[in-house]
Amino acid sequence: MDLLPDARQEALAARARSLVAEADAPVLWDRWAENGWFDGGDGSTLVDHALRFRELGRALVPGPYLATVLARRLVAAVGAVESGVELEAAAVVAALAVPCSPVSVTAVDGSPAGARLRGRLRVLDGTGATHVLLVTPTGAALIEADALPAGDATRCLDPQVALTALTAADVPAALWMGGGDLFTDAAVLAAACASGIAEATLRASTDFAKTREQFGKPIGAFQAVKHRCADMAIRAEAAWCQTAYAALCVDAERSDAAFQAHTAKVVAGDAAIRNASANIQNHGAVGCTVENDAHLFLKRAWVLEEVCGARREHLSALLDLPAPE
Amino acid sequence: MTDADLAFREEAKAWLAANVPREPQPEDGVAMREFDMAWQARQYEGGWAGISWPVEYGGRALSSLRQMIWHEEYARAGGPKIGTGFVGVNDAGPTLMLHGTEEQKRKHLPRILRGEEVWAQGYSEPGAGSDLAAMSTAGVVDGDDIVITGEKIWTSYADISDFQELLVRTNPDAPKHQGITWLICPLDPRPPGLTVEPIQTLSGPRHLCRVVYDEVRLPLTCVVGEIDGGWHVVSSSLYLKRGTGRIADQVSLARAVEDLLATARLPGSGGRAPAIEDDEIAHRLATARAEVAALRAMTYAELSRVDRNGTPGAEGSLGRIFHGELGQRVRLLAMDVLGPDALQMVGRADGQRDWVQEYLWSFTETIGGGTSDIQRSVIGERVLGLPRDR
Ligand SMILES: Cc1cc2nc3c(=O)[nH]c(=O)nc-3n(C[C@H](O)[C@H](O)[C@H](O)COP(=O)(O)OP(=O)(O)OC[C@H]3O[C@@H](n4cnc5c(N)ncnc54)[C@H](O)[C@@H]3O)c2cc1C
Repeated sequence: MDLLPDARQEALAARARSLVAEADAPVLWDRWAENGWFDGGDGSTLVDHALRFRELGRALVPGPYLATVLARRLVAAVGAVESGVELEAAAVVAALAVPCSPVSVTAVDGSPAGARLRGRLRVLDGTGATHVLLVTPTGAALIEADALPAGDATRCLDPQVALTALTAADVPAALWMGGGDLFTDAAVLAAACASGIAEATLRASTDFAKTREQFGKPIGAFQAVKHRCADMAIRAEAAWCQTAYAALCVDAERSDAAFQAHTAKVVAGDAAIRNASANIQNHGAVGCTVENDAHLFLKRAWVLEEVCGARREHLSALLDLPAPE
Repeated sequence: MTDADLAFREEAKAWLAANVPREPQPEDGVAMREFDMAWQARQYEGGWAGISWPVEYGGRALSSLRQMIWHEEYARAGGPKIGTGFVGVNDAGPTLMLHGTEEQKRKHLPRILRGEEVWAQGYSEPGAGSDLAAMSTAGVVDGDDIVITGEKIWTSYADISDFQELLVRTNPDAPKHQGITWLICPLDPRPPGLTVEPIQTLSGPRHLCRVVYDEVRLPLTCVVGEIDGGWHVVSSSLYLKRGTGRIADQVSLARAVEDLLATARLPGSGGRAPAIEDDEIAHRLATARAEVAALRAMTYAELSRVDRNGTPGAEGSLGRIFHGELGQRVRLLAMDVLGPDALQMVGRADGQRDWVQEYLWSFTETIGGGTSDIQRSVIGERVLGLPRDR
């Protein structure tokens, strides 16, 4: 299995990278839509999506990209099993829900539209969303935004993310799909964002270590700094290799796809938080201020850690699955 | 992977299932040598030695993919560690192929594959470890001979080897990387003036040796490469040496994690509750599973790089440190899983794992073959482009 991107994937990643670099937030969203990158209508594999989410993570792009891509995958998947649900994927803009406590989803009659939801949620980037997406290991639910109470706007750790807390008393889902498939996709794409953060912070630290001078030399000549950077490189490598491998396994419908996806989320999530932390240390005082993006990487890393299944959930799942061949 | 590759895999699997020795591998001395060489000979007869080596030296000249498949299946089948065969097959062989004379190649390569020659590596010295190029064992050319005086240390298996790769300083006045020569030094029978003294390791076995040379006289025909060109010989074949064997190391570590998980699910001695019922242990086990899976992905990425560029580049150090330190975390976790049972070393009999011995040995993983500190500097400088520190 070749884990390096081929020429087509290189080009795809480069295109996403230059779009991300050029366009401001609202324009970028429109471009993403024009290119069909939310839907995978261009025949996107999960690897393709992962390559693009890696770029979004690297550049700290705000907005509900992750939930929207996942929601449209859900619509497409349920559509494929003859739901009878009228929902046009391209019209869906979704916000991600994080359960605060176990949220109960009761499938009423086994039909894709029959589930009801009860519990307390936090919703990320809800402004302008048509739907809210809840992804769990046992199923995924898409709920119309209007069906939920407005909730209380709260301050998110990450200043680029809008956060609302609300309680779903007994809300019908517009769409429900049992099973862990979407959870697997979600874990891989969140891991791709996290890998991007691990790589971007590595880059920021090495660039800084080559130029910032103390005691008459670049601080990167000191082993304490150099070795911290080397550790960041090891973690970034582990994160992306595993994420790419997991995405390949999902695309190939391999039996260990879920195992590999849980692993990707755990390893990449850890790499993002630890690299973002080391990046602050490498920058000294300026890393402790908002003069520099170091804090934004750390904050986004924590958001990614909590969405699409927190570490604890993925670790428990890992112990329950058979080891891959 | 083609159908032919898949068929090759099936063939390897079947052969290994029927042939992997079930008796435990002795851990040092002549018994270990005999075990390892008998197993090497059996692999040779089966057509599984030197899969990617040229035909004229006893190999099969197949692709590196086939070699990788073999290593993977070998580890899955629980094949013994290569042990005393390591230096010959993975280092001396490839080095001679690149730099040896035709005569040196014909003399040694087929015998290495057939399990008739054990090799040791005499590089490190008391005064030269990480800074290998600071080595000082002298080689003085005298007519058609070279006369060697000095001391090597940590030479694995020198006590039971036939030959040693030996680095000597032939020009003390040249800059340190330029006055070194690479020699083939016979160890059995011992040339006059050469003594070998085994040193016991922290986990028990005695196979790291001190080798002392007191005016040992060898013919110049034992020089490999150029006089004073030894550093080039050491560094140019570095990758070939480990090659696709990394996949086997990864598979073995994955097996260790699965074995540990199985142990953790069983009650401890005296009816103690299974270790996995402790949340912290359970999460560390799950993390180990995740990390060993990530190591596999890193190994595949490394092999992809080798496939495209012929070398893993300095990026190879990324996986090496990750592997070494993960191996240590897994063994430390094993100690915690064992709890009070960790006080007792059970030995390797009955195909059982001796976790305590593995734990003790795991300390060598970040030291032998270049310490993790040195590897981190290599990553910093050659992968990330930071300024040099040495
Ligand atoms: C199991 C085992 C088998 C071995 N087999 C062989 C063999 O067959 N043949 C052979 O020739 N050798 C062998 N060795 C030796 C091995 O190559 C050396 O141990 C290794 O190169 C380190 O050298 P040293 O032990 O002298 O440590 P030193 O170089 O003295 O290092 C001591 C400590 O200082 C650190 N350090 C040193 N320099 C730096 C630096 N510039 N920056 C930061 N930290 C630094 C090291 O990382 C280490 O922590 C073996 C070693 C082991 C453990």
